[in-house]
Amino acid sequence: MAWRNVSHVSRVIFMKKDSKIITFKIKRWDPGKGDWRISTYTVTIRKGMTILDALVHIKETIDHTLSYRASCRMGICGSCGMTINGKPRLACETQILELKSNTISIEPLKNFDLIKDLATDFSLFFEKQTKIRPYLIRSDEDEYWNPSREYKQTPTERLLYEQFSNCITCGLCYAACPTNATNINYLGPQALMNTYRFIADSRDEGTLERIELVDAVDGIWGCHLSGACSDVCPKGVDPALAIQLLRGLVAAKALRRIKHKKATGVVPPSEAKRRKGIPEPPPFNV
Amino acid sequence: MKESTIRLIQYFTALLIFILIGFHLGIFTQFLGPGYSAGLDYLSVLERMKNAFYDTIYLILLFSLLTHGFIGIRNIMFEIFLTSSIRRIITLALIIVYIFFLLYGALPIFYGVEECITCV
Repeated sequence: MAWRNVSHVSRVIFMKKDSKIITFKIKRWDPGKGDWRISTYTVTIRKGMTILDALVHIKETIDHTLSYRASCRMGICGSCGMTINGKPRLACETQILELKSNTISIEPLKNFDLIKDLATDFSLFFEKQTKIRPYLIRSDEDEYWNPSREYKQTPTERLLYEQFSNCITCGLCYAACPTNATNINYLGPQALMNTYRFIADSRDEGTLERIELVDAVDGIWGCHLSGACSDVCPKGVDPALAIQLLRGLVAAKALRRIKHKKATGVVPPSEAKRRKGIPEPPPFNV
Repeated sequence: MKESTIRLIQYFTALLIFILIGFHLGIFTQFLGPGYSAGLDYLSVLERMKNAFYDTIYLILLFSLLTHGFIGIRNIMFEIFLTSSIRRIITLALIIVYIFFLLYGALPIFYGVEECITCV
């Protein structure tokens, strides 16, 4: 019994030490009135709680009308991007105590159309992403549509675009970009970074086509090199670097230093012999 | 003209400006020219105007400065005006103004040469 009491007391001390009362000021868009309003909520938070945890808590226990977008809760889906204390962040990856602030302001992502409260419309963002043809472009149509084996790629070739393939299309770079804030036609860091990601891929043959798409005032030449995109990326991707590398490629093409790139072929059949006693695998399909 | 070509022209003219402005300012030093006050002397300027080498340098400098500047103005205007039809009008207007300034700037160089020839 005495042990239980001690345990209870220590738990209380632990809770008091690691919990904190935080005020959330949430800037909400009201589509009915077409106006902003700021809602203030006071929440007791514990160590380890993220902004998304707090939002879930607010929605469940304080205000059911609060709207936001979230899905995986672990920084993979990229749904819960919002402006937290003035900086675009993923709500699920932002620890409240790490912000070191008793009042936290939450706003929807900038440079996006609004749906309701913190939820933003990604239609234009994905439209721009689609423009740059974010898939492998290849001349071997038969193999492309009816693949027989995997495309060949060495680890070194993969390293050329690896960091850029970590993009989760959360839109934080787009929200942070000052060019996107003033020019709605600008493709944005995500689309441009993705362009470079596919050009750098040894399995792709669409280099010249993609260069044509981005060689415009509202394409790569619209970038002002502020680097805000790279600063806010939750996955450590460097879109600013990709844009600079892409500029180099476009300039090289203008100087006729780039020719059509031939993509790598498919992996040859394995010459290894099957050991005795191991059954045959099922037929290959994709 | 493609945007990349325009940008390459801008980079190239920037390089030219850097070199030629260096040369232009160098004339007013004791190392490359007659010195600051002597370099700005009217007769000294006329002397330079007689020289085809200096005339060529000034023409290239004028062309580089105007091209570089007008491409820059175009870029700024394109960030303010996003409609393609307005952008076309801006480009056309800037080309006209560019040609005017190029001719206006080139005139004293050629006129200076003419005057010097008649002086002699």
